[in-house]
Amino acid sequence: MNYGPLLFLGVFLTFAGAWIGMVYMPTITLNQVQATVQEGATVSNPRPYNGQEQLGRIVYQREGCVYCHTQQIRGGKFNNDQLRGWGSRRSHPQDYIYDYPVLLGTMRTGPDLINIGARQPNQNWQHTHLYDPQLITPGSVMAPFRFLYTKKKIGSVPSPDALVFNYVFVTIEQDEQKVLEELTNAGFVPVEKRDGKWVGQFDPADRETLAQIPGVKAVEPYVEDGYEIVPTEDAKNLVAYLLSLDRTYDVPPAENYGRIK
Amino acid sequence: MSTPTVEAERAGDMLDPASMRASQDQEQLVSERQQIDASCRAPVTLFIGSAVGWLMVGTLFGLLASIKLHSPEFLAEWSWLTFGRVRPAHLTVVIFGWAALIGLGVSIWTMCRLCRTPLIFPQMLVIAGILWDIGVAAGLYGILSGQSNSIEYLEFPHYATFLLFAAFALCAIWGITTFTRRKAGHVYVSIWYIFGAFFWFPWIYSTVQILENSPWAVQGVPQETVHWWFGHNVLGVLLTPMGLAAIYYLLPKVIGRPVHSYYLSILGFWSLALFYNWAGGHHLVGGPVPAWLITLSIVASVMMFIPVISTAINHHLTAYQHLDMLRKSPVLRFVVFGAVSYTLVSFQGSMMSVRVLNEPFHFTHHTIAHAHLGLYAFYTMVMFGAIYYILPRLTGREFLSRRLINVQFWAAALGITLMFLALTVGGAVQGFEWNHAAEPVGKLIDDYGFLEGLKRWFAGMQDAQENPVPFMTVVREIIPYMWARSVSGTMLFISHIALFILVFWNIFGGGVKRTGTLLFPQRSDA
Repeated sequence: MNYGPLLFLGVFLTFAGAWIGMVYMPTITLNQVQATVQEGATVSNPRPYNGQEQLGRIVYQREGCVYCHTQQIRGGKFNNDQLRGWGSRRSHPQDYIYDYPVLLGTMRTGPDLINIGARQPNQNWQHTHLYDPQLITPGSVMAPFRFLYTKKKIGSVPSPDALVFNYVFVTIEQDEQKVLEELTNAGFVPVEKRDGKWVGQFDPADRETLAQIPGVKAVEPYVEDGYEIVPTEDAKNLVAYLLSLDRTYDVPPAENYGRIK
Repeated sequence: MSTPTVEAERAGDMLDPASMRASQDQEQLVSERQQIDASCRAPVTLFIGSAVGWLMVGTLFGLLASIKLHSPEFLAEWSWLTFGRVRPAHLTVVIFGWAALIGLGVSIWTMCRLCRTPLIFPQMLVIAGILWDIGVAAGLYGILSGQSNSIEYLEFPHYATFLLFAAFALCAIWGITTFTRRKAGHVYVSIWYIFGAFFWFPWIYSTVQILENSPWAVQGVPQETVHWWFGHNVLGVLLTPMGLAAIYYLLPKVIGRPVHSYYLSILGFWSLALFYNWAGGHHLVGGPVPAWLITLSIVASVMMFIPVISTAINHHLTAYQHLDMLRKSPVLRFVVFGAVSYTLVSFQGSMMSVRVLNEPFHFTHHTIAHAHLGLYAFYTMVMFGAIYYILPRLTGREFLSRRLINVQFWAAALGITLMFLALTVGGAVQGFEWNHAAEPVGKLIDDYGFLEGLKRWFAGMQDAQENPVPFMTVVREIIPYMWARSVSGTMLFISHIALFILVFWNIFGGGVKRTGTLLFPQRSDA
């Protein structure tokens, strides 16, 4: 192999073969996939993203959500994705035709998100989860995205889109187990212990009823009185995008695709 | 500090594979090599120095990302340091800042040595190196400041990718020009690999940028097939060839014996060129892409046994019976560690592409373990060895301390072993519990003891469970493995600090003047 042109030709041809097979062929065969419209429906499946969702997608990309969350339900033998309730059918090329770039993901540090908009359609849930993931899923290793929210003093009127936190911090003086039981009986849903205080679900407006339980030293609202937590535009866009992730419609069978016409 | 001379390799220089059939006398060959090394000084030192600098940056980001996976509140207030930015920062800085740059530096030097020509156009390479550094710095700024596009390996914004492409193109033009000006008649196997890398990488990089990351991007999932064709080929046609080129040069050089078989190296090279390019689709097993494509990729991945086994046999038979030199030569220690890891990582990779094994291990830390075995235990270790061989010949100075080299080796070797084991086991726990296990293994071990618990865990596995182990149970169960990774990351960081000190002390004039190698101290050999 002392002949330069031979080396060049071999290097070129082996690579060109793979380029045609791995790049060119899938591109032309899958180009025919289109959005479908169900009978009587006014929007296509999937529907194109609106402007706010597009902007939210950019936030999703820049904060690197894809490094922990996939957007694909596997099928066939890989059936557990569906058994977990992440989706009722296998993902289909059609689901991604408006995605630039397609964010299939490679890692499941967290659950799959392809149908998160259908699974958790509540806007406040999404915001709370982004602001403080461990409040909703104790033990979660998700990064908090507090920097997408502003904490500010409430002005003359509260902001209309301020988050609603039905959570309080309870400081227990003694007999933790017993007091916790009584708190639970009073409607407090404990989540986890943080810096010696129990945080849990409870309407902060009624917190006086908890404070009267013997053994409870103090009950504080999750957000200090007089303050509110307001999502930035980025946070609103991101949640709009997450809510748009709903690929639960039916798709035509895969056999219809994959042939060059 | 006690022993100044740390280069323990035998004066295998006289068995330079390129010059073996040359008839010139020894004196002339030595002075020719000294000339070549002197001509390489400025550009190659620039490449090595910047690569080691980027390695430090990349390691810090990796450590940070690792800590955030078990302690999410760590440095969580700053958007610049959120996990989703730190992780791509780690990945891109180690791939482009460290791995590609050091590969280029080592390849440039190897090309000059093997073509037996002094380095031509040094200014062009210095400009390429500076452009590359600016490109990586700009890309890192882009990711941290929130301009990443979340396409793995391609997170750098366009202003950075253009710089990288231009820098690589300069190096490739340089490489091909050097190749045409070669004096040696024989084209040694290392040159084939370097030639391939110089030619292939601009191709995959420009294709993927246009088809996935531009206004002309293709529609839908073909983006992902292009993406993984590229992603896998960064390893397959850029880093693996450069790593193998370095092994093929250094191993015979240090032990002073020619490569065992010319024909095995031909088989290894061409089968790699034929199969590796097709293997990328195994990253999409189970995904929404045509089944024929994935099957094709799995076949190609399994066919990779051919280049791997032929390369492994070739390396093994070359080094066989000379392994006692591992005690003396730090270069050989690193290179052999890397060569053995190459075989391991390739075997593992071929196995993991098969559907039955891919099913549990996809999306888990098992994959991360595999990636580090390839990029660190193989590639990075070989490049460390290459630095220890090349840098003293460029600067004419020995390294600061033998002890520090030992620290560097053992911290890296033990660190990467710990990381591999922790992530492999953690990933297996993750994968089996997501897909097959009936109960979490931790609970079974608590109830029945270690062996009996494990036995019951495996016995309870089925193709699919009606009631899978809850996702959060698995998240909690693998936290200890995440801590183990942070510990191993700290060990690697210590290793890299040692390397940083050694390299920059040497570049900036510390250390002892090199008068020869340890075994032949009287010879003023290059």
